[in-house]
Amino acid sequence: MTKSRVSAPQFFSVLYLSVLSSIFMYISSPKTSISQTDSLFRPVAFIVISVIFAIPTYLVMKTVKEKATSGLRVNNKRFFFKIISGIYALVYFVAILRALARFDLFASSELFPGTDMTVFIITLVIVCGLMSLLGLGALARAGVIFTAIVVVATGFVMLSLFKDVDLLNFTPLMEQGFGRIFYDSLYFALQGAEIGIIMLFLPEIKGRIVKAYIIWAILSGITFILILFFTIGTLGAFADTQLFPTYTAVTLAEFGLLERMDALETAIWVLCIVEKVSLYFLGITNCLEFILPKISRRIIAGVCMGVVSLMLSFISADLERFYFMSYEPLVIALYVIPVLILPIALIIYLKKVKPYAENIPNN
Amino acid sequence: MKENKQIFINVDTVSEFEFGDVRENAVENGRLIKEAFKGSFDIVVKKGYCAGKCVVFANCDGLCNSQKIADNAIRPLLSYNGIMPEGNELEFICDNIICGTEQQKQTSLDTAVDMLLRGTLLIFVEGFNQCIIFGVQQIPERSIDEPDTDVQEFGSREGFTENLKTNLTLVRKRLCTPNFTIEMKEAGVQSKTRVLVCYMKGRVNKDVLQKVNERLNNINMDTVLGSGYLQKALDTKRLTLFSMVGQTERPDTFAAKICEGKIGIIIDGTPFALIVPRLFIENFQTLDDYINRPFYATFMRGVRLLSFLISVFLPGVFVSVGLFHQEMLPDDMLYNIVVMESNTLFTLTLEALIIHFVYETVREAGLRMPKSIGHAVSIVGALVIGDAAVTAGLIGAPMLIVVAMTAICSLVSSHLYQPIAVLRIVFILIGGATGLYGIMIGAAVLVISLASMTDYGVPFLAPITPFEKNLMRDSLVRISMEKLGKNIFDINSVRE
Repeated sequence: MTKSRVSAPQFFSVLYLSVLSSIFMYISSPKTSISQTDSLFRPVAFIVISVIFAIPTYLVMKTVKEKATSGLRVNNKRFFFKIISGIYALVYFVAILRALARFDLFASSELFPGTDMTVFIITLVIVCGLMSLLGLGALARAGVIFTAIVVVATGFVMLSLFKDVDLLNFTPLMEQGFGRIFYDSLYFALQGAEIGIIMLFLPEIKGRIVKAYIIWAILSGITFILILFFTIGTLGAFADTQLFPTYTAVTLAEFGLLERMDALETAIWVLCIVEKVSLYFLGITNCLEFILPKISRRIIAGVCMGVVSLMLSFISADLERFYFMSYEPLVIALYVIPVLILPIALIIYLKKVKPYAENIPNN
Repeated sequence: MKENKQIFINVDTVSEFEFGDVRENAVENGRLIKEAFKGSFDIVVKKGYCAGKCVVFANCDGLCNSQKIADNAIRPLLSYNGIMPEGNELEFICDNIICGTEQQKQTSLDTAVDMLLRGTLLIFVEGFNQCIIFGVQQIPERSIDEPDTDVQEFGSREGFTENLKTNLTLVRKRLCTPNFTIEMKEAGVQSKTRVLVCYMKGRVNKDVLQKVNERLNNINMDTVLGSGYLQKALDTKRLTLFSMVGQTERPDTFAAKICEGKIGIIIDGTPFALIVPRLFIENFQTLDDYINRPFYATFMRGVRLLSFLISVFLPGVFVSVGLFHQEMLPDDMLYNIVVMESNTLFTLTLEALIIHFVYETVREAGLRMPKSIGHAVSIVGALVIGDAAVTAGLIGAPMLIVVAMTAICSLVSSHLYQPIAVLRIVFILIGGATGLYGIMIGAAVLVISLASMTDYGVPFLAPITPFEKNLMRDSLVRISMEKLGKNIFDINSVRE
């Protein structure tokens, strides 16, 4: 299959939407508080951590991309690459489950309280699976339009919330101590697990990836600061009592004829979810296509959709299972494995196994 | 078991009449033509003598100018009593006896008969295995009128007609340059419809041209009677509601698109010319935009885009807000809507579907019925939809306003009417079932599928995404002509 190449800004617009979906439906850890002004440091830490932790990916990119190869999906029959691809597929499979389970919880607790959203979520899975078959080009081009819509809508909501911001809600800085801030910041940075997926699409991205990545990290950080600022400013300590504090803040926004803008805003968040899950589906399909080259992409995507739908139906049946998807070690694993462990393993392999370089096709 | 009856004719199996080469016996040629068109009274074959040599004329009555035939061919030939150079009579007849600029010699009788059916006069001279094809065409056509579609406020009043030559002339007079190139092709086994592929040498991309030619050459149809027959062959193979082939009835628009490096296709027998490739953004552009002031042109493009969005999403959003998100509306407004809608029989979704069905029916009837009864249907339609349905409690007044607004907006970008009509029904169903969230998922699917459309190497959503800064100056925004003039919109700059 001929891969269409996308520009770095297009690709990172998809990642921006992806990371925004995490913050829109952010569930703070039971141990952390979101209402403290110190929370505003978390996005700064997010930027720093995202840049530092991207170094292994950058090193792999330098080693592999210079050879103009197909990244992980290099035409190489080595077993090692298949294992790495398999792990990537597994990680993003769980990431899809986590993202959709969180959305399911959000929809059934906030959007349509008490309603079983399983059918809706399965429809979403099918839509995302089918969209992933249209390729990275389609997702990335649409991502630019969605980013513009989401930014305008979010900016509009923030402006509407401005009159509700109470400066008394901002607590003194460093009230909880540096250790607490450090821990919370690290946990917050885990929202940016999508940076691991860059590895899977490296050959399809053209342009200055590093520059686009840094801009993405900074813009994401700034957006987080603004969202947290308005959440803290409008809700104060009340934010800690809310399962989805960002959503609660949005419910306060009103403008002219529109007395409640939460439905409109959350509908727009759906765009972020669609882009995120479609991108993950595409990543999984690419990995599995590499492992099982004789099976068509459509079949792989269809099986993935079926398995994800089944597992989501299982998760949806019991609230306890939702909480398992937010279980701290799982969240950490979903970040550390694709962002740190797999790229480092690849670097070591690429450095140690010299014949690899000879097997790289020049495409 | 009863055998399945074959209801379709396989184009490949349709036998064609083969004439072979022109015979030396002029009468034999005439006989062959008569035999082939036995029963067709419009094919006229006439015999005469010119300086003692037998000459046979053949023409298709109605497609040629009888006066011209008589004055320029038959009379001069039959009244010629002089000497003709031995062995070179054909040349002599062409140069000295018959008068006309359009004449050629042909050895293939098949080609000659093709030309006969296009309105030329065939002259067979005894002893020659060549015939003279003499241009005396006068194919009935309507005069050049203002086009019914693509209406412009300030632009030219000329529109294409059904005549290929007229249409070509209308374009040629606007593009007085040797770079404007025309290639002729034929499409349709039976209709042998002439198709002109027009492009600007130096601006057209060779790969795109090759692809267009390939697709036209691969057309395997029995008849090509309109632009729609070729549109499908030239369009993207992806299953989609939108088309990447443009249509226009205006020679000025056609010429402008050719100058942008696109390829135009003029088809004999239809006033609609095709243009490939077409971008999504072009649906919101008109030629008036280049005559109007830039700020107004930009404003109007925005209005057209907004109209498109309203016509696709408004009924669905109204249904979803009414059913799922009432909290969005102010209490007074919500109260009014509830009061009016509570008197109706159906749910909002059903109401929306019924009224759209009625609207589409009235529209279709208005399009197909004889013009003389058009007013009657308009009155009935307006009364039924506008008044009686509300009074009878079948539909609510707010829904009527929404549908009326949607209907008007959908006519702003007439090229998009077909996808709009289907999409708004889809969004009504989605909105009625899942609320705004479903609509947003549907919108995401729509945008991603539009973004995936790429044909002839050109992404459908360019120059918005992929973003092309230079072309954005004449996309949704239109900057001044002075600045635009230096940077011509070049379709090839968005090719991937």
